[in-house]
Parts: sequence; C-alpha cells; structure tokens
Amino acid sequence: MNLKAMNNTRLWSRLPLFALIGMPMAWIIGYSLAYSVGLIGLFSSGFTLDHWQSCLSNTSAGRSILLSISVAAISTGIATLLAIMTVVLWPGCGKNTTFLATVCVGLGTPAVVFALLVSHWLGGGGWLARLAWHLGLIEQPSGVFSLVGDRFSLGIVVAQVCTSIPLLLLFFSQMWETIKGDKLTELAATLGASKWQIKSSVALPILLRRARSLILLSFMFNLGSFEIPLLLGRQSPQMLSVLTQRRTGQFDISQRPESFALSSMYFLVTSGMLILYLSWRRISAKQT
Amino acid sequence: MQNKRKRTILILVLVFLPYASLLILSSGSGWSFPRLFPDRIDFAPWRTAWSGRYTLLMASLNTVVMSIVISLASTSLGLISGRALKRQESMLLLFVVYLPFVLSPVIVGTVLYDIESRLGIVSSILGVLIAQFMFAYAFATVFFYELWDSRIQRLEQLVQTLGGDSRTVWRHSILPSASGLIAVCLIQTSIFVWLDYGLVSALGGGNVPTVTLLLFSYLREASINQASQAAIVLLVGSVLACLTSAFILKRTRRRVGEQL
Amino acid sequence: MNAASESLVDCKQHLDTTSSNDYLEIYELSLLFGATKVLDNVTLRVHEGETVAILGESGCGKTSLLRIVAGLLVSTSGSVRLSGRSIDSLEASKRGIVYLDQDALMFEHLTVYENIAFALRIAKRPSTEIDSKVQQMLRAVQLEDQATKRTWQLSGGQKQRVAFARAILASPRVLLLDEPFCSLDCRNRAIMQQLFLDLRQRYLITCLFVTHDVKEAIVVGNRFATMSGGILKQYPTSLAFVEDETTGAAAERAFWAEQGQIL
Repeated sequence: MNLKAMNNTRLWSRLPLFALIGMPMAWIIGYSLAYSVGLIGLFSSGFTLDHWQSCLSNTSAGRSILLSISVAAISTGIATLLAIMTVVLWPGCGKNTTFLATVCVGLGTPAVVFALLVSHWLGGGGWLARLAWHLGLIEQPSGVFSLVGDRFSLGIVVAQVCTSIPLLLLFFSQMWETIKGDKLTELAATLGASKWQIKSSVALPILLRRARSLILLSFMFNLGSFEIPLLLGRQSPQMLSVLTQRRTGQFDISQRPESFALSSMYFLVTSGMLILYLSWRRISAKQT
Repeated sequence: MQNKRKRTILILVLVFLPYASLLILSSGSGWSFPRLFPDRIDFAPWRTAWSGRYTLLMASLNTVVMSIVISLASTSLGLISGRALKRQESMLLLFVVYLPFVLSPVIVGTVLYDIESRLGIVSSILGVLIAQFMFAYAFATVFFYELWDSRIQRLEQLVQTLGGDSRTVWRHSILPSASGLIAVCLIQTSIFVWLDYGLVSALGGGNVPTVTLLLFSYLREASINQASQAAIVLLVGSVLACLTSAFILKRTRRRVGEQL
Repeated sequence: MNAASESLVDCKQHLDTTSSNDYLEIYELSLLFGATKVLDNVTLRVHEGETVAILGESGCGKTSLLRIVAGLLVSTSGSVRLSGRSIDSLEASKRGIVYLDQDALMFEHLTVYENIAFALRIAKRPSTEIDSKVQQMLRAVQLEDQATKRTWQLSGGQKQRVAFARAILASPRVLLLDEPFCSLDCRNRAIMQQLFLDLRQRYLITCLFVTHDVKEAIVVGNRFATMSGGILKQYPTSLAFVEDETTGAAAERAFWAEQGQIL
C-alpha cells in the first residue's frame, strides 16, 4: 500500500469518530455555550456574560457546585483509601476467587440499586431503624439518623463509595500483580524494612502513583452522578446534575440561559480534567 | 483455617444481605413500620408484572430490544474506530472519544433536548436511541482502544505478509482473535442501555418505557415492593452480564497464554 | 586451557587453601512440597568474603535454597547459621541477608539516588552519612549522572547496577544472587560480572551466586557447587569443578580451545 492509499484509509477509519462523536459533542457544547452567552435562544440579545455572572452569584448554584465537588472528592477519597488498604493488607486478594466474584457483583450493581439499598437500609424507616426499634433503642423512625436527604449528603457519599470501590479494588489488586508486589515486598524486607515500612514506603506510594489516572476518572464519574443524588440528595442544595436537569425542565424559560451556563461550566471543568487524565495516561504509558 | 472460613462466610453474608433484602421486599405487599418483612408475603409485584399500561415485562422487553440495537451498532463501529485509534494515536481523537465517556449523560441530555426538539425527534424512541448510540459508540471505541492486543496487530501483519488483502485480514486475524473482546463489548454496551436513566428521562418524555424509568416512577409513587422488584430485574441483568464478561475475558486470556 | 584461565584457576585454588572461619553454615536443609523433595539434606559452609557459585538447571532447587537462607521460605528441616548463631527464627528484615534475583526490581516512585539510599533511610542513618555513601556508590557503579533520574528511564544493565548498589549499601552479611545477569546481553553481562568482582573485593562481600552459565560461575566464584534434584554437590577444588564432565565446564573449555585454534 502506498502512502496516499494509507492516508486515505486512515481518513476513512477516523471519519465515523468525527462524524458520530466529534461533531455532535462540538454541537452540544457549542450550543450550550452559545445559549449561555446570549448568542442564541428565545430571549437572546447578543453576547453577554450576565447569565454566567447571575449563575455564579446565585447562592444555590454556587452551593450546588461546591457540594458536587466536595461530595465527589470525599467519595472518591474514601473509596480509594478503602480499596488500597484492602490490597496493601491483603496482597493476595487478586488471586482469591471469592474476592473477585464479590467484586464482580459489586461492579455489576447499578448506581440506582446502590442508592435504593442505602435508602432501604439507612433511610428513615429503613431496616436499621426497624432493627433499632425492635431492640428497643428508638421509639419512632426519626430516632435514627436518616441518610436520605441528610444535611451532610452522607447517603450520597455512601452510595458513591459503593459504586466506586469495586473498580478501584479490581484495579489495585491487578496492579499488585503487575508491579510484582510480592517480590518488591520481599526485596524491601531483605533490605531491612519492617512490615509497616514496606506498606507505607513501598506498596502505598507505588500503587497510588499508578492509580492517579483512575482516581481522577472515578472523581469525574462521581461528579456527574445523577441517579444517586436524585434519590438520596436534599432539595437544596442539589448536586450539579440534578440541578441542571431540574432547571432546564422548568416552565420559566428565562431561567434557561442560566441552566446552560451551569452545564457549560460543567463541560469546561470536565474537559479540563479529561485533558489532565489523558496526559497522565500518556506519561504512565511511557513509564511502563 | 476454620476461623478464616467463618470470617469469609460472615463477610459474604454482610455483603449479600442488602441484595437479599431487595428480594424479600419484592415478594410482598406493603412494608409498614416497624415490620422487618413486608406486611403480606403474596408475591403481588411478580404476579402483576404483566398487567397495566406500562408493565415491567413490557419495559424489560423494550429495553432489551434497545440494548441489542445499540450494542450491535456501537460495537461494530467501535471495533473499526478503536483499532484505527490504536494504530495511529492522536491526543485530539482520544479527547473526542473520551468526552462522552466522562460526561454525565443527563447533563448532555438536557442540552440535547433543545437540539432534538428543533429536529423534531425529542420525546421519541429515535431521539433516545441516537443519544444512547453516541455514548455507547464512544464507550466501544475506548474499550477496543484500551484492550487491543499487540498480538492481534502482529497477526494482521502476518496475514498481510502472506499475501492477504484487507478482507482476509479481518476474516482470518482480527475477527477470530478479537472475538472475546467483541463479545464482552456487546455485553457492556447493552448494559449501558439497560441501565441508562439520564438520557431516557431527559429525552424520552415519558414515552420510552424502560426498566429504570419504571423503577423511578415506582419510587415516586412510594411503591417500595415494586421498586425493589424493578431493582432486582435491573440487577440480575447487570450482574449476569458482568460475570459473563469476566468469564469470557479470563477464557480469552487463558487461550492466548496457551498459544504463547 | 589458555594462560589467562590457568592463572584464574590457580588463584582460586590458592583461595581454597586459605579459608577462614565458617561464616554462613547451611546444615542439612530439606524442603518438601507435598511429596516432592525440593531440597535434600543440603549442607554448605561459606567462609567470610567468599563467593560460592552454584550451578544448576531450572527447577533443581537453587532458588528455594536462597529463599530459605534469606528467610523468605521456611524449610522442612535443617538450619541456617550465621557467625555461629542460628537465624532460623529471625524474620527476613532482621537477618542482614539481601536477596537479588534477575528482575532488578526498582522502587519506581523513587529516583536512582533514593533507590540506592533505601536501606540507609530505613535504618534512619544521618543525611550526611547517606549522601556521602550514596555518592561514593554512584561513582563505583558509574551512575553519577543518573542520580536524579527515575528508574523507568534506565536500561536493563543500569537497573542491575542500581540494584547492586542498593544491596551493598544495606551492608549485607551475605548477598544472595539468583541469576542476576541472565536477562542482560553479552556485553552488559561482562560489564556486570567485572563490576561484581570489583565491589566484592572492595566491600568484602560473602556471596552465594546462582547461575546456569558455566563461564559465569568460573568468572565470579571462589568455590563451586552444582545442584540437581535438590542435592548439592560441592567441589573440593576449582580444578575438580572444571574437569567434571557433568558441569559442562570441560565442554566449554574444549569449545574455546577449538575457537582459539581456528582464530
């Protein structure tokens, strides 16, 4: 095949990517941006940053953004910590069939089911409340702190940890095999390191370094999560995805530019994180 | 050894107990406080699964059909694009492909609503399918890009050096070698559609019955038993798919290991 | 046999007759995996500063022997003594025995400098001492300009040098080397063998060196042994090792003699 033919083939094989993903995404993000700055839309009156300013100065939108970032960060952090501690304390878990099957079940459990389980078990009037009543610990359902619509969004955190942990566990357990963790542990031991020093100075830093891209990906997924905050979140402030969906669906059309400003902000932030993710992946690929 | 076994059993019970609770709740009617079990164990949700306008059975069948359509289309195209991306990496293309992978479908859906309403396809199954296809296609491309084996590439080159044209390369090296990956991708993309709520709720306008939509409507009606039932249907499909994918991947890797 | 290798054998014979006190004693070590006898009553005495080269094919028990000595595997019976004291009950981190295999494992989150300094940092030595020893070692292994690099930027040979440097700075009482150079090309292998000899002489290292390469065994060893089916056979002199048909040394010698004539 000559160079011209090769280039033609490359062009044809890439065309679907541009046509079916690139262009629609560009259209979606462009539409959102254009609407948010007043270039298009029912009440558009030319370029303006008023809607962005209004959105940012709006307390509920600001609190929503802050809430979404905090909850996503906390959920990802807890899930990472639990997953990495499991593998560091039980390095052989990647070869254990029961462990892998359990992780698989967790991986296959949809986010909405986790949200439902949190609601059933830890909500007001849930299983825990009923058990507590039967044990004589409470007299009414409100006696137990409910994780549905709670002030600290703990219910959302618990459900998001449940959704993030299986993938992280699988990653860390397989990564342990890839980096020859058992051999590294033995080497460090013969060099005089104690069990604690091996875990803290060798295992933990290597695993965390290798996992940073996945942790970022996990954070992005948690940030854009919808079903969990829809079921377990408060009325105010709401997580970003829920707020965006509710605002866009409202009858007050004049609010639409602000909701598009919100979605545009989300697109821009996530795109920035995606670029970071891809660069980290590129660096990791060179290092392995 | 016995202590270890007892500990394993305890952990397994704790992990699977919540799932068992869904089964228990779906087997009865009502769940008034402070009862631990439903008010009546009459399997009413399962008996009424196929009555009424939007039944669970109808929603399940509809979702299965949508899943099959999307998975076939996205996997076929994803295979070509993923392979192309692996052969000639480009940061820009990677960014384009990963974007739907990381963005929240519901936020994209809220913007797509406007666009689709201008095109006249909003609140229809076509509008939902188009949006789901975009996400599934991106997923399939990323999937094949990430898991494309260098061994498959070497097989392609071998067939070429033996005089094979591109059809032969596909028939004798790519499709046989990537059959495991193709099967897994078909399953994973169909699961994406099976579990999707964001796009269906944003673009379906309530006209596209799916299991997830039904689940949320049961929750809004505070029908806890039927919501649990819908959750079990979702869960069974999803977990089976996950276990099947894991099995296929393991078998593929073992076969590759034997060949090497 | 040419003049160079003759003088090498003479040198080794000289070492044999001037042995000092037993330093490492392996006494009737056996290891069973189910019904399989991996090690069968292995007894070996190593003098201080000596290198015993152990030759054997894959699966003969060489690695298991080293791992037991390092404290990474528990034997079925027998004991290991260091300077007359039993170390059987000591865990690996307390034995002062460093085990290196062919993988040249690196702590990828650390730079070359920090990899080499690892054991000293673990032992909480003062920074000035660490710096001076690490710099000295970097010069000894010719990696002064690689100090700040990450280990994934190094070649296979360079990684082996880092592994050596790191092991030696741990001040091991015994160094166990399990086919450390088998993954290197010929040229790098020769360089590493010479580096090992230099470092051994400088730091007076006691060593068990496992290899399946006869030439390598002859180059690095002061004494020789072969392992087969879990049984260790030792040679009273290096000449006995070279002349034993089963070691392959004789065949090797004949090959080079023939090459010498052709060339």
